[in-house]
Amino acid sequence: MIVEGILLALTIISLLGLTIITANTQTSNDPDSLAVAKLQAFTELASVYSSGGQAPALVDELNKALNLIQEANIAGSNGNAVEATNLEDQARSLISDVLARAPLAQQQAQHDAFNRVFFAVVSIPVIVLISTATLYLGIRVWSWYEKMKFLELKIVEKDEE
Amino acid sequence: MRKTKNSWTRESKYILLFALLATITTSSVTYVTLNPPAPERFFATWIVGANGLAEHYFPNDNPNIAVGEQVNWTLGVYNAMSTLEYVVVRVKLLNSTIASPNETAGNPSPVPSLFEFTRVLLPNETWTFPFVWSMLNVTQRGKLTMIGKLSINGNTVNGALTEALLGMNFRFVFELWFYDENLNQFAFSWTTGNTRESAWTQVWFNVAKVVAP
Repeated sequence: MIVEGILLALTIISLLGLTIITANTQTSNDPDSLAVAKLQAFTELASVYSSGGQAPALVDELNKALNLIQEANIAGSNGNAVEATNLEDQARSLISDVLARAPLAQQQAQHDAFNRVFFAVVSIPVIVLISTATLYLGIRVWSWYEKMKFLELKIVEKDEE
Repeated sequence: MRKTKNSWTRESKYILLFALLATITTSSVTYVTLNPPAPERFFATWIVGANGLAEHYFPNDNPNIAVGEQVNWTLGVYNAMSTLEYVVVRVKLLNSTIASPNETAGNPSPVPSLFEFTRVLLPNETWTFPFVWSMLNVTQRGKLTMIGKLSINGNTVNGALTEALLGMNFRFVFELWFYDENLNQFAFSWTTGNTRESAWTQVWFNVAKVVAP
């Protein structure tokens, strides 16, 4: 009795799992999910650029996906459902790739932005130190030159005496 | 010794003053470099004729287009928004009585688009693409001429598209829409300062007299 109960419970869980997996698969093949995915991909890339980074290869890939989606829409409206599905699958694959690679580009952009600010801030005391040291040395050299000139005059005066 | 000390104190003052001024100047330059003033943000759209110039829009420079006659234009979009932009060029076919896009209110033309071109544009990118079209079907109903079928870049567009009196003053309107991340939808206009701005362009044409079968 207990074993049967466990088996029944396992069967129900398996069926539930299968239902969820099927539902997810159907959602991911849905044109609506493709529309959401392309906007998500764009948003991810836009954040890369707004952080001061660049990802032209990923933008190019997204543009290829957009072209494929447009071709799929045209094929669909002309009644060529098989070609439309095929083109949508290709577009989905490209968008998935963009979504997978976008976080790395975002990290790179944030890293680059941090480096830019860091080097700019660090450059302030360095420039101040170098310019102040140059001024100080200049003043020292000038005073040394004046002293030498003064000594020279003194020697000449002594000689004349 | 006293003289040297006085001299050093005077020099120190100058050096400290110089260091202070250098710090202020360098900090200001660094701040401006890291936070440059925002440039003017806008999109631009344009159409050129078959030879890539703003002329010869129609075969033999005749704006009366016959059924099946192919017209070659090139559309251009420039992204000066200084950010990555997802844009859609919506192609609409209007006559003279259908409202044009309203730039002041930032409203698009109130008709659905026939065809769309989409692309993600890099900052400062210029995107040009061909727009090759011809009328495949035109019907006459009394004094009204109706375009029923178009070919755009090799794709057929069907339906009762637009009609005009005596086939005069049809126009293609090209509206530039962009994806607004804040609104989570495509928008036709944007705000610069206190003014609404939009990017669209149009070309007028007539349907050459339809010969009754």
